[in-house]
Amino acid sequence: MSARLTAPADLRELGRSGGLAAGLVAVLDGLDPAATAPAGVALLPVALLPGSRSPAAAAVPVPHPFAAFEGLALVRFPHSTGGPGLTGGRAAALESVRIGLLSHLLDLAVDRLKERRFGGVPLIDHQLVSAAVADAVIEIELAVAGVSAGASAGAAAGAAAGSVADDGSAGSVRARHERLTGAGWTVTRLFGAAGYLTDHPVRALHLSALAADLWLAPAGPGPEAADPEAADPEEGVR
Amino acid sequence: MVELDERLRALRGAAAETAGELRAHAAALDAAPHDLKPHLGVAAFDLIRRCTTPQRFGGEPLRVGRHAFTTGSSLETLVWMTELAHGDAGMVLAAPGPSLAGILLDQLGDQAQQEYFHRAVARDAVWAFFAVTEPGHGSDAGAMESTLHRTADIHLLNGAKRFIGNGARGEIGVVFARTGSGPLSVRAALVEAADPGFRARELDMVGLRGAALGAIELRDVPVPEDRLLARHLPATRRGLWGAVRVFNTVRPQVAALAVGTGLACLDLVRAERPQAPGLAELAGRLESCRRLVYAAGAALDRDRDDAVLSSAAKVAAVAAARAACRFAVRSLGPAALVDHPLLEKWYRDVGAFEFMEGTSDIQRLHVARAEVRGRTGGRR
Repeated sequence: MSARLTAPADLRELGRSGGLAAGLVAVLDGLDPAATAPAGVALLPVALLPGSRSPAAAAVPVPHPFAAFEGLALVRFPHSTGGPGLTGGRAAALESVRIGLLSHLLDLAVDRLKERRFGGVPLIDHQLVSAAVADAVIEIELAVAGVSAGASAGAAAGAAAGSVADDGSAGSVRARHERLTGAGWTVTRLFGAAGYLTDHPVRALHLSALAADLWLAPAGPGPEAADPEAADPEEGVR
Repeated sequence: MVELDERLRALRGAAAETAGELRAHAAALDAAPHDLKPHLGVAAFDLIRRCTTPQRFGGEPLRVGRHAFTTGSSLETLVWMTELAHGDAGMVLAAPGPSLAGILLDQLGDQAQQEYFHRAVARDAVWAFFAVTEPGHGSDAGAMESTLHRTADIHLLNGAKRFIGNGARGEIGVVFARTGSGPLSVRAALVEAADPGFRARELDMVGLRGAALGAIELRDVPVPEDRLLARHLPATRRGLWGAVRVFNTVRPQVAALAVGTGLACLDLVRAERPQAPGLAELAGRLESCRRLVYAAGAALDRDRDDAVLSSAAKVAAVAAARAACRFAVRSLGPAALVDHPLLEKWYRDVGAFEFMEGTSDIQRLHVARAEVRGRTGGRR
């Protein structure tokens, strides 16, 4: 990972302004995707596909209806036996990118909700809608705090202060990613049916969840795997 | 709660037998949702046609053993629809036939209009659209802007519709528009895609692509007087009342599609990780949703305006289906999203159920209002 892009705030800004593909390029910087992807499948920035400036191992495209619209490709590495996946600092870096992307799309959603009306009242003034916006904001703040807590734990373990480091708990990072996936759905809903078309920018949140599903180190046994409700944050996020 | 009798169990079994074929076609439909030719021969499409085309307009009932099934019962529809969605919900929505427009015609159409419509869609590979939603208003049908303007000898239809199922492939359907500014001025018109001034285009959906949403533009589309629905009904029953009735009928169908999709996701887990922690709990949750869907259908069959259970079923089933999908992704690991392309597809599909026939927020408001009015307390 590029040294200048290891700070969580920088990664959030990259996700916010550059999007998921740019963020993934930073997260995967210096890694061999084919050797890292935990199941030999990955969501890759097009810039990292074989034949481009940063060649990866041979990758076979898997059809996806809209990944390309975000500069991404779903691929399989046919010779891979399965890599370790993203852990520690890399997993947290992906989390920061996803937070930035989510913040950007929440801003777009709020702009829309201020403009559109239902029954003559701006959507943003309907209580259930306001509650969903608040829930998304809370999840974003919680995620930022979670990354910070992970970094502090890493720093205490000897990593460079201020960088995103391995907090030693892959399960907690996975759980935070799962909450982000739930918050992403909360924000997606704020766009209504328009957000369910592939020409809408909120498609990036679906791909953000897919990126986490494909890149994170597989979950081990534990409460997350044992209790689907506990890892289903949208249940409480409406 | 509803216990399926022998007749309904027979219907459920017949539908379940066709679900596997739907699943076999699902990925191809997702990849090319506007190319239906390869899928038109599936047995489930015949089942749907038989169960949605009235006998009086040429429909042949579905016969299962000594039982015959045709149109009219919400509960029966929900029983077969849940099973077919267990195969694939996108394929269910790709089936030709009367769909939502047929339900409206049954509510608002006179005999001649019903016959004209049903005989048109009874032909092979004819789809029907039901155009209420507009680009700027979403669920707010009361803010509709499309107009139906009367000239000396005909009405002219103008406006734009968006997110319309079968919008681009439908040959015939109904379009809602205003004849004036008042709340009772919304009317429905029977329209054909070949009419002058009617233009439709496909919308590319994230998931549930078999529904083939479209956008429709209407520019001075001529509507003869005899194509206006509900001329024989009082003013209060002519416009949005009919749309509300359709939405009430279809809402538990969306819940049924969600339950079926959730069950399909659990099938994958059951096949590969039958001991996955949480599998039994989610299966139980979906079974509860199925029961709630059936109860909603039975309530509608008793009273077409008793839709509170439909709203409750939709909220519960949509959440459960999404939970089942996330569970499957987590339980099977990242390879499953590629090794089982339908899991990746179903993960996209389940999002659609949220936006169909009213979001979860709208349904919550329906449930709360019903509770305040005392329409739910008697059930508990």
